[in-house]
Amino acid sequence: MNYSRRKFFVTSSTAAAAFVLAGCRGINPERLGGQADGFANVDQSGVVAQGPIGKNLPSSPILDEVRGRGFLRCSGTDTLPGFSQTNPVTGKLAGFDAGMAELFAKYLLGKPAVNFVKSGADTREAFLQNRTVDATISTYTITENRERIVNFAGPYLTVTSGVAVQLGETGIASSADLAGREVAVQPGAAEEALLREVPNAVPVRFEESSQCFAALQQQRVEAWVANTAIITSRAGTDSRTTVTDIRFGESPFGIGLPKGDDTYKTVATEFINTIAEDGTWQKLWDETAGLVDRTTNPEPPAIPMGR
Amino acid sequence: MMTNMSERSPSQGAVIELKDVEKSFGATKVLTGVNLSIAKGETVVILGPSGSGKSTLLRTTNRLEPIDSGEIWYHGKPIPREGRELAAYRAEVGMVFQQFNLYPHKTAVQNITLAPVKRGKQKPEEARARALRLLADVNLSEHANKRPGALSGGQQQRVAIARAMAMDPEVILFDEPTSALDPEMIQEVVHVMKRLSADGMTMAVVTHEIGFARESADRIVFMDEGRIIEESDPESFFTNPRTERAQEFLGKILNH
Amino acid sequence: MDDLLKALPGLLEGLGVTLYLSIPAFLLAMVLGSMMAIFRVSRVRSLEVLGTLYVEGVRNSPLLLILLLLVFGLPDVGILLPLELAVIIGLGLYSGTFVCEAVRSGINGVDVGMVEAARASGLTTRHVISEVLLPVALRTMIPPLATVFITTVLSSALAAAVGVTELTGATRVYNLVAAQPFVAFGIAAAGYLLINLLIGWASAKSERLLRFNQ
Repeated sequence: MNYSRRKFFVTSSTAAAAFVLAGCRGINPERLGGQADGFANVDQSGVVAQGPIGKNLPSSPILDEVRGRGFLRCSGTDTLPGFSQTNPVTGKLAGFDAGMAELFAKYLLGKPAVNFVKSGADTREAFLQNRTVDATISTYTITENRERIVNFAGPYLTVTSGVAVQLGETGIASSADLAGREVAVQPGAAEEALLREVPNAVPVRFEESSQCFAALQQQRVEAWVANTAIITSRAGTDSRTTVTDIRFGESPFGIGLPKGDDTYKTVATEFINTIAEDGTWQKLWDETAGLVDRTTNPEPPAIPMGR
Repeated sequence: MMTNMSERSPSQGAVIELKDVEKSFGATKVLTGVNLSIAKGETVVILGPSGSGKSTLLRTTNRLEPIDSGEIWYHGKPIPREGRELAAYRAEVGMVFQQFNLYPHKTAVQNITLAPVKRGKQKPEEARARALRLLADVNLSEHANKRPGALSGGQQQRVAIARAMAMDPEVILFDEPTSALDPEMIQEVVHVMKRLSADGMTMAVVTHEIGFARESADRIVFMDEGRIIEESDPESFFTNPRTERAQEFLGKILNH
Repeated sequence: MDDLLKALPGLLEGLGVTLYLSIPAFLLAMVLGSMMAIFRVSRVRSLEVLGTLYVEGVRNSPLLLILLLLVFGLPDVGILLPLELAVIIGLGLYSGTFVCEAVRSGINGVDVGMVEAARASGLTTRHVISEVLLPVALRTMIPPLATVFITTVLSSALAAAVGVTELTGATRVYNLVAAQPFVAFGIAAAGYLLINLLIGWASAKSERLLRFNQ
């Protein structure tokens, strides 16, 4: 995971430069791309070490290619705490999605060899279509439009969205109250969930969850919508903001796969069911997103074959 | 001639007077102990080999080059060193350059009216009418609305002279006004200069045009190595130069 | 196709926001950059230092960092700019350094004699600059300034990272729903191309209009 190391270096030096530029007057470098403390100890490597290895896997074009290459090319983000973000101590991508990618690689190859390719919500389909990657594990919500051009295995996790507001905010009691208000979101799953639930909300998009959070603290926006794991990790521990009871929008996350290789998709589905049944899935959740989100306790998935 | 009355007082009737002017560019001394006064209505021609400091002398007079020591007086007062006062002084001292230096984005008329209008000396319509008269004086009426790029060198230099005239200057400095011109265009410029001189304009002219110097100069100043080494009326200078350097110099240019 | 029709108003609005950001940003850059360029050639030590600090300080920071500082850094010291304004200022500051260098080399390219003639005719420094130096320099500066303008338009895409939904942001929104990245970003590219062709055309046109030999 060379990329992660470099990225970490760039982010931290950028943040440091920002801090200096700001005249050291108490500007919080984290918002410029740094880390939240709460996730410093997210590390899935113990879980991955015990993860299962697939037996008697069939042959298919992509499977053969991956085996021949010896590692899995997987795209995702590095800005989602608890799901996929660079751990400042180890320099490796840490989180639930990062662990899923390593477990999947291990299931296919016997070792968690993943070549991480950073992609935002913009490029996920393109990367799969032009075969830049073998899989996308990136809080990637399964939708009909996407299923026309990529395969999905899963859902491997279904999350609900939560809403954080400024402390003392009384005008937002239900999701409908978000209509017409400026709401911070990260592009992708959270944004989709928000617009499905409240089409007239005004999304204000920031790359990093730390920035969404800062925007809320600084009263640039009236609310912040993200999945409950992310939102409780930040707003739950802060004195200026609070997490509301509002929950909405089931977002089913799937492993995105290139279209056309259905054997590969079946293997991916079997992988999800295997780690759900043998307890690996639960351990992964507990070591990653579950560390910060104790309010939700998602069920391990059980995907009917043929989905 | 210098009297003992006071070293500091200007000569009678002098428009411009330089006293003990010294100037170096880095380690190179270009003016050494230069004293010169130019009287009202006088045409002074400054001659000398190249590198003798003629142009620098001219350029110190309107402070395009600041001097290291000495003094420059204008109508009995030291010239201003900077700011609005310096600009106001320069407005009274016209200058014509070897390379014409017209503003390429402005027409002939606009070149002439810029300074009078911007200095608030003339209203735009008034300045324009004046500029057209000046252009007529130098035979350029039909080129009034052309930009410099569309004019020949001789035409450009005549516009430049009209531009200098537009401010009704007390004195005009000519810095080798014909050196950059093709031979066939020199006369049209010299002709204009001769007329100005005859009309009583106060002029200081650095030139190699011996014809002009003979006919129009009231006085010849000969410079060598940053010093004025000879000053006399044209007749005696050209027929009987006193210094060896002047003889040498005349020998070279008159044989060409 | 249906999705595209539905998304078209949003994409057009994004195009509008791109213009709304980049035009004022470029104007700001022009004012700031020209001022700093004059500082840099002023031969007044303190002004030269100020101009140099500005150019070297801002030009050597990534634009994203500047935007993040304005959006997330300033509120911590009590200044909360609206997002669009923050982007316009950040973009203007950034492009201003390139304007400064274009103007500076334009000024340095102006024939010294012309400026001397203007000074010798009694124009004040202000008029020498506004009437002679800048208008003459401007002609040589048009092509590099057009390039700066184009870069400003393209750089405005970074606004999408700090909460402003301009053309790139709008394209992402469309793609999120439609899952058609090639169509979506093809449209965005066409939008930028359109704007930049217009700038190129205007630049060539004004160069022709301002040519000296007329």
